[in-house]
Amino acid sequence: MKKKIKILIVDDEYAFCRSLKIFLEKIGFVPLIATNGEHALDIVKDEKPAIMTLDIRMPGLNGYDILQKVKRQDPDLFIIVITAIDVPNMEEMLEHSGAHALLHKPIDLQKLSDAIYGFVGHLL
Amino acid sequence: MGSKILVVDNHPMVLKLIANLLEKGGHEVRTAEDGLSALDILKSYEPDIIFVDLVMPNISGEKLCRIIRNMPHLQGVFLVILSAIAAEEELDFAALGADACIAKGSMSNLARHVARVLELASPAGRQEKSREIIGLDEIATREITRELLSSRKHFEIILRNMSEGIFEFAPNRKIIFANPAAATLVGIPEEMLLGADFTEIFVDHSLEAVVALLNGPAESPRKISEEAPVLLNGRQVSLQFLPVASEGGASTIVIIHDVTNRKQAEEKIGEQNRFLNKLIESLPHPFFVVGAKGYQVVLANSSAQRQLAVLAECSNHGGQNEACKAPPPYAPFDRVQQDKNSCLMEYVEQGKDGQETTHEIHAHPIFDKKGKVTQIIEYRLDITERKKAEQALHDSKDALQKALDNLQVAQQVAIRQEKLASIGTLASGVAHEILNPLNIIGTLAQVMQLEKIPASMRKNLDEMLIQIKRATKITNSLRSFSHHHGFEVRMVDVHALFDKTAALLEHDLNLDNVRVERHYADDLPRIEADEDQLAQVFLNLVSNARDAMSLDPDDKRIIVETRSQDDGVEIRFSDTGGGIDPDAIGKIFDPFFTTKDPGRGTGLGLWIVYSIIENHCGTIRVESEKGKGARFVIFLPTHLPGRRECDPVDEK
Repeated sequence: MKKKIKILIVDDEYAFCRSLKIFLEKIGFVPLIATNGEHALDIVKDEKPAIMTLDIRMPGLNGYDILQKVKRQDPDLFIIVITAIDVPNMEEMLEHSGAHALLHKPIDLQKLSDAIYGFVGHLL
Repeated sequence: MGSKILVVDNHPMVLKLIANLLEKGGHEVRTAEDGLSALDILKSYEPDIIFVDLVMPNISGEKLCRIIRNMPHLQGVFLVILSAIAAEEELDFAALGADACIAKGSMSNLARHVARVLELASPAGRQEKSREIIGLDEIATREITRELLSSRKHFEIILRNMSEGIFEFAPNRKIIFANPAAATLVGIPEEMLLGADFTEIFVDHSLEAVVALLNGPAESPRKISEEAPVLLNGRQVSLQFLPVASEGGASTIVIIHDVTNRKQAEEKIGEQNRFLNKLIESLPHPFFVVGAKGYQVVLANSSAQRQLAVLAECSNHGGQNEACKAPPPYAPFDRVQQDKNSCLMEYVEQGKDGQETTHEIHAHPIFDKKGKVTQIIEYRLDITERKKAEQALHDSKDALQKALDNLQVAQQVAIRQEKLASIGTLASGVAHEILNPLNIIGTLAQVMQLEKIPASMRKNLDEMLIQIKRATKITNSLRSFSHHHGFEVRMVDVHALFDKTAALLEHDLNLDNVRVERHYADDLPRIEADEDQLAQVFLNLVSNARDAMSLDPDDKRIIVETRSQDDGVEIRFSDTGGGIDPDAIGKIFDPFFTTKDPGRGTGLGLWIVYSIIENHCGTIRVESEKGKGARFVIFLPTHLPGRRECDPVDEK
């Protein structure tokens, strides 16, 4: 059951995507990688991941745009925003836009897994 | 052969006696009763001997002698003086040019005396050059005659030394007397004047004038006045004719005044007066002179008569400045009298139409010899236009200064904001770029820790994560500096703040032809707010409005209205742009939402506005119809409650 859960990693930094992929594989998920917004939307459509980690500042479609589009495409998708941006009221703003969790870079993998397991537990 | 003899005596008995005596002696005799007749005869008659009576009317014997002696054709004539006053007046007959002298006494002795003269007149007798007055021993001195002669002498001295020319002419206008001044005036010696026609000393118009006068009625006073003088030998003269009644008809004495110098002086004064008048008249400004007592106008140029109501009235009533009191103000006159010096004053005149005219009044004293102010000159300049220009200049200078002050304040605000903004931009940019690699390193380190690794390596990885946290903390603190530069609450004048902020964008707005209309409430209270943040709100709204109108070329206006409300102020920003799409209107305050071209909008502008208004416990809402512009309505409370006690923000 656990093995089937797909997590889409969206970040324009491939090195980060790769390292996160290693981690997610290690804890038993199926990670997918997208380094731009368009690619991410395609994967969401084709692979139907349950969870998405999302960077905000990216060239082309930014995280916020993706958030808007993805919410329409798959309202159940659990979205964890992982960003280096920190502005006041960011959490409320993202919540308002449909994100479920916010992690600031550099991330604590423990917190990420807590967020994921929190959602997965809710799924189960 | 007898001699040719002329006898001149005004006494007919004497004349007849001598003529008879001589004719009996075989001489050719002609007689004349006065000097003038004698001179007539002498024009065509050359006698050998002339008997001349000393005391005669008209030309006296003395003068006749001198005239005869000056006649070239009579050089050789033997001249005999008949003197009735020989006993009373010592006579040097030789000095008169006479050759012999008979003292008139009794008629019985006369024949003997004439005989003695004939002796002396003979060629032999002429050699003798006798100085004796024939018959002097036979007469006695008469006191009355002596006195009369003495007084005549006085008159002669006076006449000789008078500066006026004196002529006397006979009824036939022949000159019988001319004093030295008269001769000098005419420029002809006395001897030549005597016997000449008086009128002939004049020429041309002067001659005509004199003849006309003399031909006129004798009763009227005959006079050629100074006012209309005649020309005499190039000089301007006045003439006074005085009739003198005597036996042989009335002769006339003429007194001649040389008025040339005076006339010339008058002419010069007249010329100067005309020059001064011209000068005064040429002044376009009112110029007049008043007496120091009572300030009656004594002179005014036509500009003064035209422009000053009082003077205009005076001259209209015909009384050309007479007893016309000067127009007010009198303060300059008082001052001039008090200071005995010129003074300059400004005077504002209230016209009948309510128009104010400002005059610059120049007043100058005129002193008498004792240094007392007798008259005052006033000269007025209408400086109304100049004053207006000065005021306008002053006002525009004030306005410029105010604009400059505003600009300087705005510039300071801008610099401060720009500084903060650039620090913020730099800090968040740098933070982002540092945090990303730290994130990758950290993630990799955590992934490595999941592997089975030696304890020493685990310890190293722990240390790496500690250092990553440390770097993160520093980066975040740098970034938070730009975000939380403080919330400084003070009392803010919304109007002043908006003006200051709009001034920052004024250049851009002008370039885009955007006008800012302000409808400010008079009673708008100051509010508690962070000035910098509120300025940011205005900046964002104005630049949004400008961008919204970039495509509309015709009417580009930003309208700012303020009004006072119960607990705060309402500020409305409207534009005349294309308005907001109904689809977008619900999202415009969302972060990262933008309708602008990529690279232009951040999508954060209105979100920041929203955040700031929220932080001030205020509300903002937007109203728009597509194509009819947009309006943002902001409410800000006068007093800020504790930040956490704000009511939820309106969201429309």
